[in-house]
Amino acid sequence: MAPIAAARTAPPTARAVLRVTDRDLIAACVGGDREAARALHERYYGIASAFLRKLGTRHGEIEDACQEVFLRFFRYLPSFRGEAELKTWLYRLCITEARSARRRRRISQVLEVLLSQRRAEASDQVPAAGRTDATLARLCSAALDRMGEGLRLVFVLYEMEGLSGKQIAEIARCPEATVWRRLHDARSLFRAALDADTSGVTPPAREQARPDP
Amino acid sequence: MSRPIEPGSGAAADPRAPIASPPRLIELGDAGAVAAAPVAGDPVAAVLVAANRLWRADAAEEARVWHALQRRRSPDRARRGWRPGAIALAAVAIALLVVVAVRRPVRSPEIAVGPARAKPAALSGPPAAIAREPPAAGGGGDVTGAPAPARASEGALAPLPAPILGEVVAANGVRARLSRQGVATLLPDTSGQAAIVLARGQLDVDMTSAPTTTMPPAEPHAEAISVRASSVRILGDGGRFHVDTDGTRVGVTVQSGAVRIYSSRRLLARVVAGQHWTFTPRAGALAHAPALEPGASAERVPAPAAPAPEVDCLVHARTGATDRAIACFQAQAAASGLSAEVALLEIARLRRDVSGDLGGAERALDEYRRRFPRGTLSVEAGIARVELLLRLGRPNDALVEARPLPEGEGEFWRAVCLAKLGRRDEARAAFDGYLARPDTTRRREAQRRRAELAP
Repeated sequence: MAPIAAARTAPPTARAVLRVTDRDLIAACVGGDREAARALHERYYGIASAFLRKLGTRHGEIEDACQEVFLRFFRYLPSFRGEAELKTWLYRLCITEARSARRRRRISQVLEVLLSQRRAEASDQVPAAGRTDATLARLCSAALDRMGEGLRLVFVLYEMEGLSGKQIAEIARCPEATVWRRLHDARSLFRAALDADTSGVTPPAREQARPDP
Repeated sequence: MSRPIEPGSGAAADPRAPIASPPRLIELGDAGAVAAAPVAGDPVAAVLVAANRLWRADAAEEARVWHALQRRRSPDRARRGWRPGAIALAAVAIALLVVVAVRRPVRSPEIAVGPARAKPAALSGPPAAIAREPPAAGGGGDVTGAPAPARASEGALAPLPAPILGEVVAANGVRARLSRQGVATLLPDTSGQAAIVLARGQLDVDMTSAPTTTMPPAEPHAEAISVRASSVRILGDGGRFHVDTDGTRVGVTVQSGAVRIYSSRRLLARVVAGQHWTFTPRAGALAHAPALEPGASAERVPAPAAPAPEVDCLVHARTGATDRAIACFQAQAAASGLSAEVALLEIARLRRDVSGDLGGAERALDEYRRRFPRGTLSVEAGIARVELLLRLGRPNDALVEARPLPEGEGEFWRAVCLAKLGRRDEARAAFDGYLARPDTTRRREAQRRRAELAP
């Protein structure tokens, strides 16, 4: 991952800092140690950035969204008592920020349409053959965009972030059984969206997470 | 839609058995990195691997965000871009327009009465509008026999702050008399309220001859006079009172009527006739602590819930003023969002760990649960509740609260609860499970507790 790669290329002092545990870094950061804050940023930036992207934050918005996430991260770090996992907390901050970014984008899209009378661009149609990573990633993005927030979150956390069901239940604030049900729905939807994109058939409508029983 | 995923064959037989995870589409290593190649020919896996590979952040992006973050966190406002400056300018312009609009109908009749003073050139003149009495040679500021002071409104075209020497009568009829060694300034009258800043000395305020205001008394600006001394503001709208200050300590004695005393926007006390109120700032404290003198009976008023999100309430806690820290956090908790969540948890922690008010801590956590059932800090709140219930001697309740907590720390607290309940075997197993995890934060404590449970 990027933070680890950054650690390898970082100067020796920074590398030494990166070997320190999260807990020590938080303590030092709260005490005003700028180097510790930098190390935390390096360690978690990659996770936050990739997760935001998977939640639908657009490429041009990623840096702004990450800034907001880390602004809140450092602002509220003194209140973080290390009782929950730092990564889980970061995921929650990212979810909130991704939601805000989506809301802002929706508003700007409406304004753009109203002001310039331009129609939204056509959906991501990519040729079936000769796909590069970029085209595959666009396919992935388009398929994820067809999911509701609840399904997407579970799918991304499990299949792309590698979290356990219990961790996802904690982040998504739902029972673990609901996580598995949403994962099942999300997988079906993802597969159907990919099939539709490659075969040219109209994909199924955007599906939201079903309410908990 | 096909049948939902059945995670593990044993789960259907025993509903209490832990749910096994379904196989993943791609194998992920540390921090989401793809550890194994996807199944050949599976388009979903190929797409996920490509997206995971492409959506990684690079070091340059990270560095850019870090530098932008530093600029935003920096107190140097000049580097924050044009927007704050533009907003401030717009606010100033609007405020000026409002002031002009409000003042116009008030001043026009005075201009008509006093044509000589209505010339614009008079604006640059000395602050002669406020009639001042020169200090008497041997009278020590006493005005007996001195010519009657003129009203401040007589020279209404000089709205400049004016030092007070001796006695002054404000535009609204409030009379104030300063001691000989005193230093005070009468501020321009903008809203029918006389405003005096008392740097040091004694100030007698007599409002008995002033017309009664018709404004609602709850408004801080509705009173006939406002006296600023040290970091407090004394507001009165009738009667007589006396303020004495050396620049830091403030004493207020009310002869008749009543006054309200504020610090910033916070109402500190209401002092009525016959009462005396003193204020001595605490060294090192940001917000000063007012204190009633022994025997005095001024009515203390609880602080209103004013939003103060940027105030570091822990400053009070560090200086030992726990009550003030709690009041400060209560003001923040009245707002919404993450600040309010943090404030409620801090209140609970201060009450539990510093004040020893376990009931109060539980109330704060109850309020947190009621207001933020799915809050960002709900796990932290859950752990705080478990700790509190254990201290209250309710391990059964604590265990119930610990069950929904996530893996890791939740496991630790479940083990602690089980140990408290005397279920030693289960507690040992829970501690073992916790210690087997690679990312524990309470390893040493868990090892100690585990050792205590050894057979």
